[in-house]
Formats: sequence, C-alpha cells, structure tokens
Amino acid sequence: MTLKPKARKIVAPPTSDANAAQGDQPPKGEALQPEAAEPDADDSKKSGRRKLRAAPPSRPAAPESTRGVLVTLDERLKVLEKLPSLATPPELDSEMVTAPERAPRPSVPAPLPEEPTPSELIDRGSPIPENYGMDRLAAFPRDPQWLFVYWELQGGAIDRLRFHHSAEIIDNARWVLRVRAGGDARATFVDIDLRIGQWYLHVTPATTFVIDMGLINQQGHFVEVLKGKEVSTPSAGVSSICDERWVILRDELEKLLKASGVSPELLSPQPGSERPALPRSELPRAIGIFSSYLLQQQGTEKK
Amino acid sequence: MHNGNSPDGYLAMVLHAHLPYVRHPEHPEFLEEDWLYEAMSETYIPLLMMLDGFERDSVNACFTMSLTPPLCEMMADPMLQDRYLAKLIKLQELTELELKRTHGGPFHAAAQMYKKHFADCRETFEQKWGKNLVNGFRHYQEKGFVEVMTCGATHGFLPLMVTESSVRAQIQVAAKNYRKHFGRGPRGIWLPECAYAPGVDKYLREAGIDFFFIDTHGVSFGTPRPRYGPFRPVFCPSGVAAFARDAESSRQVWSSEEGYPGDVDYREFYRDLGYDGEYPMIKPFLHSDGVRRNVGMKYHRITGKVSLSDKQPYNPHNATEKAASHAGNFMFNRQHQAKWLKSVLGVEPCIVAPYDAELFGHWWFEGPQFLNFLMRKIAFDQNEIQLTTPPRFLDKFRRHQMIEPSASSWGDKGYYEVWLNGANDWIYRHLHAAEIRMQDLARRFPHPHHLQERAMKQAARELLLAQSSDWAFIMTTGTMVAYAQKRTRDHLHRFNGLYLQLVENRLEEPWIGDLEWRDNIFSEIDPNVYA
Repeated sequence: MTLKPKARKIVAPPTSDANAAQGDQPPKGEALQPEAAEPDADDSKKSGRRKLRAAPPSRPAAPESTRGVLVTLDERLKVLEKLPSLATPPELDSEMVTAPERAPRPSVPAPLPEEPTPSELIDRGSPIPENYGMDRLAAFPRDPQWLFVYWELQGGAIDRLRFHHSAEIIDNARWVLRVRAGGDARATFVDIDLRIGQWYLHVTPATTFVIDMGLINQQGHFVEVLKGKEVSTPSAGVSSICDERWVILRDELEKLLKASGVSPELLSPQPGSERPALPRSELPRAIGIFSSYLLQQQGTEKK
Repeated sequence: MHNGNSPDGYLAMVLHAHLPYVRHPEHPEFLEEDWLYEAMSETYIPLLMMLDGFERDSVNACFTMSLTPPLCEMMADPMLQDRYLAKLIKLQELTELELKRTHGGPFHAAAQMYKKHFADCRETFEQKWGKNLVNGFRHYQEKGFVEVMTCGATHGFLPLMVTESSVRAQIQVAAKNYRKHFGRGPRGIWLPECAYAPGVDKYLREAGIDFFFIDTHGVSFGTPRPRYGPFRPVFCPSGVAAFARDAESSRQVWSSEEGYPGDVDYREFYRDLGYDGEYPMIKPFLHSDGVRRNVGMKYHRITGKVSLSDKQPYNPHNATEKAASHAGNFMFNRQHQAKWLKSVLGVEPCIVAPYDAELFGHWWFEGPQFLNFLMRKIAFDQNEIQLTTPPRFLDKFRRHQMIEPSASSWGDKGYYEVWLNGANDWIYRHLHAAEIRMQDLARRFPHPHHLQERAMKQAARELLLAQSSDWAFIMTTGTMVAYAQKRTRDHLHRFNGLYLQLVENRLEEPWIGDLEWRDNIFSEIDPNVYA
C-alpha cells in the first residue's frame, strides 16, 4: 500500500511549529477582514518547486523588446518565431535585436531579465483559541497499536479538585491516564505531563479501552478527574470468529490474500486458537433494503 | 478464448475525484485554484471525452466515479467557470506560439498535440456542457456509462470526528448536494480517504446509500471471517454493502517501481514549459507576480532514471501506443486473476480497482487513454471478465455474507496515521470543540430569525470546510503546509466568531455577508442537521 500522491506541487519543508494556538479573540467585523491585504497564502510552497528544475543554461540576454508583457498575439508571434527551439542550444540571432532599442551587444552573456522569487512571507492563518473552557478527554485509535488521547481542564474540574484536596496534594500529585481494557477491572496507569495536553498510548489490537485521567494521591489511590468514553483499536489480522454458513479456514483466507497482493505485514496472526462459530442469534442481522434479498435468495445460489 | 455465457469474474473500475474547496474570490488569481483548472484540463474533461466516445460508439462500458461535493460546487460555480475559460483561452494562445517556435524540431509533435488538446477541452467545456462539467457527468450517468457516487460533504475524516451529529452532517449535506447536482439521491459513497470505523454504515443507511468502498483489510479483517475475502461484497450490520479494494490491481497502477505511469515513454511531470521556457516568452502566461510555475505544457518523456536535464523529447504517438499496450496487459492480468479466483472461491469474483481520478491525466498524462483502451478492449475483445458497477453487481448477485468490517483507511499503513500524527494532531481538539459548539447552536436556535439563520448556515459551512481531510493530509506530506494550516485556522476562526456572535447576541451582518461571499459552498445547507 502506498501513500497516494494527492498533493500536487512540490515541496516546502515540513514545519515544526504547527501547534501555535493563539489567544481567543472574539471577532469584530472590521477586524476580521484581513485577507485582502494579506500576502499570498501559497508562499511557502513556491520555493521548493524550483529545486526540481533543471539547472538553467547560461543564456544571452533577451532583447529589450521581448521583456515584460507583450500585449497582442501578433507581437508575441513575431518574437517567438525568432526564439530558439528547446531542442537546440539557444543562440541569439542578431536579427532579433531591433536597432532603435538595442543596447551594445555584450561580449559575454548578460543575465536574463530578473525573475521574481517567491515571497518569504508565510501566513499561517487567523488566531484560534488555546482552550474552549471545557473539561474533556478524548481518545481515538491511530492504528491497531496506538491510541491518541488529548485533554482540556478549563471547565472547573481543577477548581472542584482544589475544593476537596489541599493545594500541596494537587501540586505534588502524580498525574496519570488510567487504561482499562475490555471490561477488565484491572487498570494500567500511565504517567503523563499535564501541561502537554495530549499523549500517545501503546496498546493491543482489536480491544476496547476506557481511558480516564486523574491523579494518584498520597495514599496511592486514583482520583478521577476526567472520565473518558470507550474507544476500540482496529483489528490487525484475520478474525478467529467464523460464520457457520460462510466457513473458510484462516489459512485459506490468508493464502487468498497473499496471492492477491496483500502486504504480509497486514496478515500478522492474532494470538489464540480458533473459536467456534457464533450461534446464529449472535450474528449481525440484516436490515434495510437488502434483508429481503437475503430471505428470498437464500439457498438459491450455489456456494 | 473463454467459452460460455458467464464470465470468470467482474471488474469494477472506480475513480475517486476530489479537490478541496479552493475558491478564492478575494484574489483575482490564486495558485491553489490552479489545482482545479489543471485537473479539469487533464482529468475531468478527458474523462468526459472518453464517455462521449462510449456513447458515440455504443461501447458496453461502465465504471464508478465519485465527484465530491466540493468538486461539484466548484464545477458549478460561475466565477471559477469564467476563470477557467480565461485560462483556456490563454493556453490556446500559448499553443499557437509554441507551434511556431517548435516548428521543425523534435518538440513539434507535442506542440500539435497540445493545440488539439486545449481546443478539445474548450469545446467540451464551453460548447458541449455550458461551462458546467457536472452536466456532462449527469448526462452519462443517465445513459448508464458511469455511476456517480458522493463523498463526505467536505471530505471530512469520519472516524476522527467526536460527535455523531458531525458524522451525520457530512453524509446528509453531501446527499442533499448530490440531489441538487444530479437530480436524484446518491446510491453510493466514497468514504473520505476510504476511512471506515464500525458504525459509520448506519449514517449511510440513514441517507439512503446502498454501497461504499473499503480497503482490502477492512473486509479481510472483518468479523466474522469473510468467506470470499475481499473478492465479493459484504453487507454491514445496517444492510449497506461494502466493496473491498483489490490490492493487486491497485499495485499495478500505483506502484512507483512496477506501476505503468513510470514507463519511459510517458510524459514527464516535472519538466514544464513554465520553468523551461525563455522567461520573456513565458511571463505573459504566468500569474501576475511573474513567478515561474507550471503552465501545463510539458515536452519531455520520463526517459529513465536520468536527471531532469537529460530527459528526452516526448512523443505523443509512442506514448499512446504504450497506453494501449499497458491496457492490454492490465486486462490480461485481470483475466487470469478472475479465472484463478473463481477456481478457488467457487463463485465469480468482483475485482474492485479504485484510484484517485486525478492520477489519470494529471499525474499520469496518458491515464485517460489507458482507461479508454482498457474499457473498450474489455467490451469488444474478450468475454472472460465483465465490467460492472456496485448497483449492477448487487442486482445480479443478491446474497452476500454479513460482517462487521474492520476499521481501516487506504492511507499509508492502512489505518489513520496519515491523518493523525505529530504533524497534524493539534487540529483535532479545535475541530472537536467546533463540532460540540455547532451542535450546541443547532439545539439553542431551533427557530432562528433571518440573520441568526444566515449565521448558523455560515457556521456550518466554516466547520465543514475546516474538517476537510486534505489539510491534515497536506500537513503530513510536508507540501504547502502553511496553506493547510491557514485554511484550518481561518475556517475555525470564522466559525468561532460566528458562534460567539450568536450566543452573545451581537451579530454583525456585514461580516456575515463577507464570509458568505468568501466561503459560499452549499447554498442549500440546513444547519438543523446538527441538532
């Protein structure tokens, strides 16, 4: 699998200061119309593209009459008829230089008319708030083995915490993410730096987690501050669950996938033995327009 | 030659056509708008010309294609239509100059090709479809040559949204927009970035959508185990059908090493007249700032692993011949694949070959010719495989296994990392806050007065535009990062401004009007979809 090459132009170096949130500034109409005076937003990409150009050959000066914008097609044709083909090394024809505008022909090639370079100004957009006055914790899967978690503590949770606990306890507390998997009562605690506001957690595939945030008090107990919702990691291999009506062995399916070009990395086997087929009552049920097809066609197509 | 009436298998060619909304009325010309104009000349119009040929020659060909809502909105936008026409007229001027300049040299055949190409583009754009290419795709859909799908409203990455209302809005706004442009509801959808998470299907069902596409392992790793792997569609728990991508046919085209587009006879993307031409000659055809950029005329072929300065002249005839040869090779491989799969599976496989539409024409200039040759060869030269679309396949084969597909995307490594990593993870706390705020607005103002309604509609537009997955993608790839950051922050800034003005009851009509003028997508939007 390849990263699809959607981005078109080449090439500004990656930036590292993406997380540059600025203060909340409720807008006023007159302050929020800066775009007309802004520099082009595309400045950042202009420089890189030139790296891919072939080194320009040293060329003699173009005649004055060819500089700048030529207004009509006929005028351009007159000039272009005399310009060299790309196939041949450019050599200035003396006929191209008209007498009244001609400067003395230099003995060495003069530089080309100055070409503008892309502006160095970079506009990264309007300010956005650093926080939104909320207490929140969100977790999303990045892939089968990593969860991304972020939090915000601006909705009063810290104040409520201070009401129940001394400042000393809070200030010296060990802040942690509590990770509980698949309804398991046991929890894993991951130390975090509260100020960073986000964390990546290394976890197991095809598992549902509940992530909460809080602190470990002096007695070693977890004090919950932010409660998270369930989040599931994707599967990283062929399921061990079979449908008795549609049986295929794992080996056969993997062979099929390998033969069809699926990357071996995506076929990492999951631990554990085969599980019996689910009873029909536990299989997902069809609803909607295709359910009638299922009922009507069942058994009529050879499988 | 295959004997018998039924084929060994079916081939679904799928193109995903998408560009982010890059309309910039605040500037007379804008570099990112060129993405649209280039894609129109190199991909969308050549595809329409191919479809025109199918109709003219009664070719029994069909394929599936998404036209995302931002793309449809830009195609139908009068300002962009006029700007594109002006661009085409200038390019036609340039081709005249180039015919003279290259006369007698090795680049003349390419110059002649460009003259015809841009004249055909203009004829198709202006005369045939009245400057709105959506009209063309709608026509060929009604004729049965193409099944047009929708996509997320702004190509938002659904599994990384925090509220159900935002996921629903991406689908419902898209479906409504599709009805505006195509006169009926969408049957299928290309999920943005092919990104699926269990549960997404129920929002598709709500919008009356029957099928979507998913990456290979989305089905292969689904539960329970899929009897036919990725080679037959499956039903999700909601009843929506999922068609899985075939990895082998993808690799034949996508692979940077084995893929067809890297052939030595094909046009070299990175040698453009905008950089190669004498500056005084090319300057009138650049933007007014005079900075060299691509103008869309390229005279060299890939040649081989040589430096750009050693690239050899492009020969359009040889390139066309190579496209025909590659089409034959692709068909041959699919025939053998279908035969083998049928012997293993015991049923006819459905081989799904999806690609970014812009690969064909923009990146791979000869791509539309390849598609044309391929579909005509399949239609006329053999009967081992048959072209199909999801509605046709589901109509013919109605019994399929039901599974819960696995979370997946078609990005690098197969999951969400391209859109969630250290380069772009900062955006989600802001996008999610905006989602929550938008839901709050829809619930606070169930019956807004006129100006409130305008503000809410605009807030929905700004949120949708900020959610475009293109911005996170660009931040990852490292190209044009500032533009992606600016678009994310500007739309969020505008959204937050509208939100605060609404909840603090201090709406400023001139500012709202200015935003409506700048970000005018989805005139039909209903903010109640967020309630």
